[in-house]
Amino acid sequence: MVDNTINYALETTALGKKIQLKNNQSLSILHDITLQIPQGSSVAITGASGSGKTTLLGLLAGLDTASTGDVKLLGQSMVDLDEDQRAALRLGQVGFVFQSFHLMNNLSALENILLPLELEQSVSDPHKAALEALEQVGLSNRATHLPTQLSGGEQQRVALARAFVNKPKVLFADEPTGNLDQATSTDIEQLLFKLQKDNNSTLVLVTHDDALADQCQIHYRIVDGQLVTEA
Amino acid sequence: MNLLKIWRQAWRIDEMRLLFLALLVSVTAVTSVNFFTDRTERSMTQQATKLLGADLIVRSSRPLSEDYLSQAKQLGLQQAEIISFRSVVSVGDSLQLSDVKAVSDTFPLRGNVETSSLLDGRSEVDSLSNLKSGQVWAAPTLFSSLEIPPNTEVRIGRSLFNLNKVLVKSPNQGANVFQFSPEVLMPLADLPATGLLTPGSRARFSYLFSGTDAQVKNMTDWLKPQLKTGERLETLDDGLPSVGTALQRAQRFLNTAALLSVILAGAAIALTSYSFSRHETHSVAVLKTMGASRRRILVRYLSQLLLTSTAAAILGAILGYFIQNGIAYMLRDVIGTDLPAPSLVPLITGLLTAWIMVFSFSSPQLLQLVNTAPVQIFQNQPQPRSNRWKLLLLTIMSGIFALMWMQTQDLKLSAFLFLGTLGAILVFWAVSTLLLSQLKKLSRNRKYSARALSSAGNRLVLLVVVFGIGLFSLLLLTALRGDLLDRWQNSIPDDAPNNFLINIQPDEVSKLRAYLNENKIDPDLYPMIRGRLVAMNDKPVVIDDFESPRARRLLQREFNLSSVEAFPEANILLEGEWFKPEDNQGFSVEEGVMERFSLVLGDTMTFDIGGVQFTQTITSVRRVNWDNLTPNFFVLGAPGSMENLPQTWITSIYAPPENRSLVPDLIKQHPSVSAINISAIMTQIKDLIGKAAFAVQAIFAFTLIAGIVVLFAALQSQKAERRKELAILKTIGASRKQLRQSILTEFVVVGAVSGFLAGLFAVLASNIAAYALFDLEPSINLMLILIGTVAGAVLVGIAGYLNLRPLLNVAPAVLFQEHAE
Ligand SMILES: Nc1ncnc2c1ncn2[C@@H]1O[C@H](COP(=O)(O)OP(=O)(O)OP(=O)(O)O)[C@@H](O)[C@H]1O
Ligand SMILES: [Mg+2]
Repeated sequence: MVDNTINYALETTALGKKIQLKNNQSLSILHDITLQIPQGSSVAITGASGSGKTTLLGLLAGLDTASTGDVKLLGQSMVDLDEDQRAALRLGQVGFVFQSFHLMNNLSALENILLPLELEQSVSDPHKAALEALEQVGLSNRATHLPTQLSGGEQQRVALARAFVNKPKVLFADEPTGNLDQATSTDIEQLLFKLQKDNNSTLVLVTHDDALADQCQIHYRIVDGQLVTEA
Repeated sequence: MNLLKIWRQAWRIDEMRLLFLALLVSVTAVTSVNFFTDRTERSMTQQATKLLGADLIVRSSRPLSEDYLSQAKQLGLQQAEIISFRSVVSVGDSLQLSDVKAVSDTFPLRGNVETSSLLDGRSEVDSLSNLKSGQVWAAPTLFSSLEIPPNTEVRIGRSLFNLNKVLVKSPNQGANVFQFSPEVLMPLADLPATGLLTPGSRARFSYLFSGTDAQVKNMTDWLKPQLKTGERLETLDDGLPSVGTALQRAQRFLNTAALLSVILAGAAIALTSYSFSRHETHSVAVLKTMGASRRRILVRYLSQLLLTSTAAAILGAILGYFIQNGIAYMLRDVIGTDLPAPSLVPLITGLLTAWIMVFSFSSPQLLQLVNTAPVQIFQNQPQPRSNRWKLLLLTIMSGIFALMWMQTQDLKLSAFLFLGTLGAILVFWAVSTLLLSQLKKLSRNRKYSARALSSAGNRLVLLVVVFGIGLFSLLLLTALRGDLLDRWQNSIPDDAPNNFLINIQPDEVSKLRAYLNENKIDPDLYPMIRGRLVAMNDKPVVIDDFESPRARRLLQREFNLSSVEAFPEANILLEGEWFKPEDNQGFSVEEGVMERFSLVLGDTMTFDIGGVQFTQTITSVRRVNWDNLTPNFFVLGAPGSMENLPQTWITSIYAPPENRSLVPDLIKQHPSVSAINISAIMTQIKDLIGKAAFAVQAIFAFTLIAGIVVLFAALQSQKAERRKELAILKTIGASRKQLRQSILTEFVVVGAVSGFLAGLFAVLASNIAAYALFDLEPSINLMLILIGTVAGAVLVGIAGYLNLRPLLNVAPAVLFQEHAE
């Protein structure tokens, strides 16, 4: 399935993002970002609040379009793709974990995990796969519960199961533990790294926690809209 | 299986449940109103056909072709035949000019005749098969004017008949009460022997038909091209103008009520889908991060909406059916029991209503939702782009129009209501935006509750518009219903005239008036001058120049002209000026005549009155209230302008039933005067109007309930948002008392503002509607505005408070359970 010549899960060249302001001025959030992230590695992005971490993540995942430069996701340049084409590229290959979980409120834990499988339609028994994913995050007894019936930590576990259920090549996480207490955070972090390794996914993790960032193979910091590699 | 899953998942979304509820209510309202109006309409129509005696009548002054009868037979219609003529009925040397009808024994096809064997005996329903050869039945006035009891031998033409029963009630008495003489029924087979039917005799030949709607329509379609000159069709509409207009008004009202309930529900649905699209934004963004295409997402939401609306429609139609069945059962004495068979039509109407509502009211938001940028996932409060408002307005408006069209199948009514609603929404929107922005300014450095009010911004505007439209609909309906019922009650009061006195000679007027005054009756006497319209604007009238059958009919007949000093009570002056007492020039003409002959104010009309040409300029135009049972005239001359023309006088009086001898004694003193008893018609019309009034009340009550339920649904749609808001306010230390105050302030202000606007609009719209749709006189009822404001403040305040009170107890912790929405 995967072309062997692809070495990088993500590559960017001179990536920049400008925001058009009301008074005809523009604000440059990110500029001249060039990076290469090998398949299977883990990358942390840190930076001050408002430095553009989330913006970069959105660009890398093809949720947003760059003002300048290009992003290659899994070898595919996204500059000429429209929104649906970029979505198709993510389908089954990219997973997300968010700070505020973003489970579908009207779906049970299991149904939330089923969602990416149903969208991708490549797994023969999605139900079984979803149950297994739920078991991996230790919530098999909460399959029918709705998100409102789960605690924050539990919701994030479901979100992790949902993100990893179709063995994504790239997983984006934006402050995945930002809304959780210390102990729960540690659990979730360990689970995240474990699932990443099990699935051999590339992890792009945005965090403000330097200790967490140091657990990743590569650690980038955004300073003045540009990328600085930490030791 | 899959459907079940979609259903289960959709059902867990608050807004979907609300949408379902709003749709359920509106479909229930529409279908039950539809079922019910259908039934009451039919019942009223049946009632009215009884007055006509048939569904369809062909009349002519010459014998009609037998082909008509054989065609009717082929089409499966019932048939009856009448040959009527005026003839003298005599006993010894007493004579009475009578309206003799030779009828086949199948007469009447609709309604029935009632007879009595005694003059003051109880009447019973009778059948013409009991009228044997050699017998006749006659109206009570014949007995009194000839001073004979039942079972007397009378002469009609060359034959002798036994006048054996009193004809108390008979349909088909015709529209023109002025031409009545005592009615006499004789068997058709006995007619030739009387020798009265000679080629020169002025008889009227009628075939009566009845059948199903389809049969009658087929027959009408077949007949129309066959008709020879002088032959004309008569149906309910032109047979009895007074019943026709009463019916039309009732139907219009019922339709208006049904439509307004649709608009009410529409407002709730628009509100619900608005909050739906706001709350689902994150879900759409999540789906997009997973790689779902826009098409997939669209299909996902469409299937949810389709399933929800279909389920609501089916359930609503079933509920609607049972509800109207319940009402119909309770009213079985009033509306009768022969109701139309339940059909699939209301179910289809229900489905169409639900689908049109959902898709026209929510498709712009759905499109917007589907186009959510996936980066929105990172934003806490995703804002729907607002550039879809125009599209939203457009689709909502076309949806509303489609629904109105479907509901009324009446272009005028739909257009009227549509433009009214459009105008109301726009003005409500503009005014409430303005008002609330003023409030915002005011509250900048004021107390907490006022500040909370201003922070809600757009949401409040939306509430004002929704509640405003809701209250407006209800106030409008209240005003119209009041006017309509008053009008009906007034048009047929208990002492409404039950006798017409005609053919009063000018020199008898004062003596007759004195006699009536003695009996405590103060009659309005009108001169009646018969004239043929011979020229307009000095151009001779040629019948063939006119296409419309009504215009031709008017020209073939003689007009009844009159002149009065006071403006006729139940009329409305449309143009020009009414005569001053000293005027002796001019005509005041009924609007329909003006229209039919394309006349305008200032034109002249020339009548041939007994060989004299009488020309006058049209100085005013009137609308005549035909359901008022006093003499009405198409053309009125200036007071005193017609004194010298040949004329007789007429009047209508109420003869109390206990004063039996009043009319007979009058006839004895004034032998040339004819009295026409219209009590039977009156009773029937009263009965009919009673039913119509009841239907109006029932449907009004129903719309009221629908309106309240839907308003609650609208309120409910903002609950989730408010829940979060209240939790935030609590976490920052707002007390429950403060919160309660802020909620109450908000809803009382919203209610008062919307009630005020609604009242203002209802005054405007009810006047326009009264005038344009219901022929009622405009009246400015400022009370409506006051009622609107107070009722709005109280109702919306209470409803809003009740709706949100449970939220006051919400623990702030819920904030952290539910992620950002
Ligand atoms: N749509 C937008 N319009 C205007 N400014 C924006 C928009 N999106 C982002 N920004 C600005 O871009 C900058 C970067 O935002 P971003 O959300 O990427 O920051 P962040 O590093 O993720 O911050 P945090 O750690 O607080 O999440 C911020 O200053 C933000 O205000
Ligand atoms: Mg961020």
